[in-house]
Amino acid sequence: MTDFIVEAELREETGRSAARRLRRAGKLPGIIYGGDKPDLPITMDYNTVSKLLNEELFHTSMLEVKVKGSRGKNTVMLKDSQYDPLKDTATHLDFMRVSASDSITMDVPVVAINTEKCPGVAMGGMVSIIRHSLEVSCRADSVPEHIEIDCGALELGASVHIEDITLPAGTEVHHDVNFTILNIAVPKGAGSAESEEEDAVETEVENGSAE
Amino acid sequence: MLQPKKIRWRKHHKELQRIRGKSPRGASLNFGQYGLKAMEPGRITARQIEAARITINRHVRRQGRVWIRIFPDLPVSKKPAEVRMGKGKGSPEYWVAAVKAGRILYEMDGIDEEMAYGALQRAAAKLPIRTKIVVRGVGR
Repeated sequence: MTDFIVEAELREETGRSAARRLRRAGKLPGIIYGGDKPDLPITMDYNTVSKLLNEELFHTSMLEVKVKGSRGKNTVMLKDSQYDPLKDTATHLDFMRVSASDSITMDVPVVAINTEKCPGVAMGGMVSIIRHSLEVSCRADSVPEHIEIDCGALELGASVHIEDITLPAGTEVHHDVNFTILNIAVPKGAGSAESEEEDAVETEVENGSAE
Repeated sequence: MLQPKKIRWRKHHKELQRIRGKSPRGASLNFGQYGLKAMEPGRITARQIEAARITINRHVRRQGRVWIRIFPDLPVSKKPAEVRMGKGKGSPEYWVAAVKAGRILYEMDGIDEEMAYGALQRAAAKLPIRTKIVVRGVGR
């Protein structure tokens, strides 16, 4: 049921300075919580876990954390991961205890497929993903690795909305409005004689608006 | 060039607290596949932001999409030449964006990796700080 096993040790010290000491020693601090049990601060080997973090399945599947010095099995899911803004290395992981029958909400990445066959792209458009991830609700043991959106038949200017896609069985996305997930954008100035500085579609984002 | 449409105060302090330290916000890609990340803190003027934007657009021609993730909202004042010290603060001269280390400056999408790297490398040459190119990864 669980493809990934994470080896961990109990962490006795908590707080910023203790966490920094651990990171300097090649360890990665984390925590296990949820499931009506007490929180369990843990520490893991950074090199081992950083390789796992590069696998898409690690973020969406059930994991087993073996904690040295602690009894019982910890079946968890990766709830949150923090990264250093400069080095892009993981600094802390949050694991949430789950059981297979639990209904959970997770962010699942959106992937566009068949873009090379897309008639809109052939006419000069580009696949513009508006939502890079969707918040899906499903059973803990059936979280999809990613949500595929078929672009094989999309014309120039076409959009795919949340109500247009077929989600895997048992998976649902709560939504109030029928929001756009991706579209085949028409390049600005295509076919006109505008100056080249203005050709690329360009958006200015206000400070902090995208957080 | 970018500058605020409406301002409350004409002259500001240097606001060094907006520059020092690592950026807790705006440090990950939110829109595009590729981005340019600041590796050190600094003040980027509206002219530099514009110069880098033009460089990106010239390189990618009619393809792709560009997002500018910073905005120059801090006025910098300057005294005229050959004026003695004192007699009050100088007049606003230009606008800068206060950038902390780790901040994403530009994002791009809809182009191949080679072209994105070319455009962002050329844009980085227009900026007064060290930067690196980042690509959207798993889980981030």
